[in-house]
Amino acid sequence: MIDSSIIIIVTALYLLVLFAVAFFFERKHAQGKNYTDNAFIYVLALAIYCTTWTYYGNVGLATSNGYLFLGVYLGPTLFFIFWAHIIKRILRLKREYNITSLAELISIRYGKSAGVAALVTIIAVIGIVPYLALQIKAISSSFAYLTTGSGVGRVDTSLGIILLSVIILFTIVFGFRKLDQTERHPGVIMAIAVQSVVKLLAFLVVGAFIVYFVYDGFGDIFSRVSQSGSFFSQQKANAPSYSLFLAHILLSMSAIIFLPRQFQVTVIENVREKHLDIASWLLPIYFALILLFVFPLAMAAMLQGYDIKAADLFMLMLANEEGGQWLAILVFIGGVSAALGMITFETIALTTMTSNHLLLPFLERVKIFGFLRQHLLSLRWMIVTIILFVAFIFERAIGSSYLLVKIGMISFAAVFQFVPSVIGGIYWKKGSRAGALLGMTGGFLVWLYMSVLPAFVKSGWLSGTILTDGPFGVRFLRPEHLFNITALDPLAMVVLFSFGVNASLYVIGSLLFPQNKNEDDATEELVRIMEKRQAAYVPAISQEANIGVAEKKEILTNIFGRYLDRDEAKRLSQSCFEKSGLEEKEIMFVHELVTLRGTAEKILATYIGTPAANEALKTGGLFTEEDTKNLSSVYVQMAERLKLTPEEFSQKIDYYTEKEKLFSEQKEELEKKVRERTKKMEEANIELKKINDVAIGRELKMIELKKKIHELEEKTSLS
Amino acid sequence: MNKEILSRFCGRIKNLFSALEFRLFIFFLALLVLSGPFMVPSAERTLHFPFVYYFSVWCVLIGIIFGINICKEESDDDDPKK
Repeated sequence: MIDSSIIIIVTALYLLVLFAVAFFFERKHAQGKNYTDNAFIYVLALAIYCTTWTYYGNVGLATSNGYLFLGVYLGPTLFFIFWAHIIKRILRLKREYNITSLAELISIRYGKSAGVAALVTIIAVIGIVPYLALQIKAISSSFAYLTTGSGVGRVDTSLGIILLSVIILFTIVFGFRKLDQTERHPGVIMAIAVQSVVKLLAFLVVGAFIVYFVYDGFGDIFSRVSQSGSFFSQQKANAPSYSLFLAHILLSMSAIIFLPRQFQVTVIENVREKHLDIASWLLPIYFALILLFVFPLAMAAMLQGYDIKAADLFMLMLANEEGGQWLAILVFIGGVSAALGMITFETIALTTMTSNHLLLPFLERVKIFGFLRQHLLSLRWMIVTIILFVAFIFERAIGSSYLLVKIGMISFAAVFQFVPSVIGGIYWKKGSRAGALLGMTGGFLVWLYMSVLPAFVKSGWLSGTILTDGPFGVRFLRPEHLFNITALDPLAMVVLFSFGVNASLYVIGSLLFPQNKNEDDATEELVRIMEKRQAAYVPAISQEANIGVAEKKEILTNIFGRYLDRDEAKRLSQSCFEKSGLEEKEIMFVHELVTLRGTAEKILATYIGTPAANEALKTGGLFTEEDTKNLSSVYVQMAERLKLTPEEFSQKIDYYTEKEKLFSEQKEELEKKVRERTKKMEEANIELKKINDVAIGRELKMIELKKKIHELEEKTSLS
Repeated sequence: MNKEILSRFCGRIKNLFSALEFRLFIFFLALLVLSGPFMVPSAERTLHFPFVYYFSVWCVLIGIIFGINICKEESDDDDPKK
């Protein structure tokens, strides 16, 4: 047992260091020095994928299920090999639309639908908040073990609240100091990078110590375990099926990008696309290093005869009993690092999604609460506090339940429900909002039935007969063995059925309820951005500039003023006009108003998200009826000028777009050739210069020799 | 007649393959490789075999990503826009 005051002091010092690091790099960023513009920092930030579930849980999982844990890390590696280009496309969209969250990305594809964004947020919150509780539980139980020696204890509630308050403070100070959520969080990123180094170092130090100092290397541990036989036979008996291993791989492939925290770091915090290329091989190396000693540690724990019920604390127990208190404290600090990184970014991501896609639409609809829109930042701080307190209450109430122990994979399965809508949205132009809503709802319900319901039963909150006899005695509806399928592992069943239902409903919904005009435009724009195409050709049209700039500026300021204070609203409104090239005009054309609207939406989206910004501008009165009529007349003129029907007009635009693409490719080809020729000419020039230098040198030498001859001749004539 | 049916069939198969992404086939191949330890009969499995196997496959996969990125960097160097 270790004196609790020592652990508290060390933890407090470590947290102080993290605050200092975050504060220092935030300040440097404000001074224009961006240290997060570095691929290694990006990789270390992405390593928040390794939570306490990796840090403590893997040794436990290796003890009971052998090599199953490897699937969770092989999945992301496969994702980077085959589908890293998807992330690059998303990065392009982020830059274009000022995307602030995963919910926003999906909603933009489906016509900036507020409904889609809200559904994604609900799924994420339900799936992830218990996962936050698991992190708190890991800190709590590891602290309890070190101070009491009990493998099933937990930290005192008052101490837990103090720690939670520090986490809330850190998240608010460095995550939500400003309203603009497209701004990166350099302070938090640097603190996470430090945490990633600490947890890796702690794991490697303990692993190397146990394997090479307590035992005589890997071979020694393996041979001892083989001789003892019991662990080996237990491993054989509990060997995972391939379906379970495959389920782990598939779920982790989606989790590496669709877990809100991973999306936040991978996409929102990304500074350069190029960093992703380095991360795609360096992150798997990080995983391989942090997993290197997992199995030897599991075997060492079994050789020591530890109780398998405390499997998640084996690493801490080994460090404490074999290495002494300081090694144990190092392991504890590594665990705190693994938990803190995840908690901070997951909370930032969930808070942004909740405030933009659940709270704001609510405030827009319920007029009585409308005044709260002015206090969005304070509301976000409140959401951070609520999310973390709910997670804490979960930990207190159901800390040792089956649900929380298994929540890692359950959470992965929840975010897996975003896959059909995202992948379908990127590759299938016909994918519609109705399809996305139907698919995600269907997949989510299947996930609840097949994944959460069994966890509730195993936690003892519901009758066990649901699992053995099925609901109302209908056996083929047993949640874990739907349609009496027993050949597959329950988790594999969740993956298979939730994905099957989700993807089928997505396709059926999209075919039955095709895209409306909004979605159609959004899809076209999205494809254009992802494929780096230029905007379609539009012929010049004569029109009269009759829209008053001052009037529109006032309207825009009022729209911004619904969410921001008056000065900030005025500043942003002015910035919209400047960015649209209208700052010096008194009247403008209707097509300039369209440009202004686009700019305003992008700017407002950085504060409240794209769906809400779109809605605010729609209802804010920026376009009057007359403006809309004028805009229609412009399009009619275009069609008339081209002598085309609307269908032909659309085809014509496609034709010009294709033509432009072709020109652009040819231009690139030509530029490449010119570059090659220039390079050759430069080389030839250098060669010529060399020859020239030699020739001039010879000439100078000859002049010099002639001089000497002349001098000699003069001397000889004199003599 | 048979020749015509055969060529039409081959054409359809070719279209089907070109419609599906090549990387999907490679992905399934990778999953097949990862199923290696499960193919070994339970009695013949040693304790360390799956770990040596998976860490080796993992190193190869990391090597592949590294290689892809090196190739990409070289082609980027040729890119006049850079």
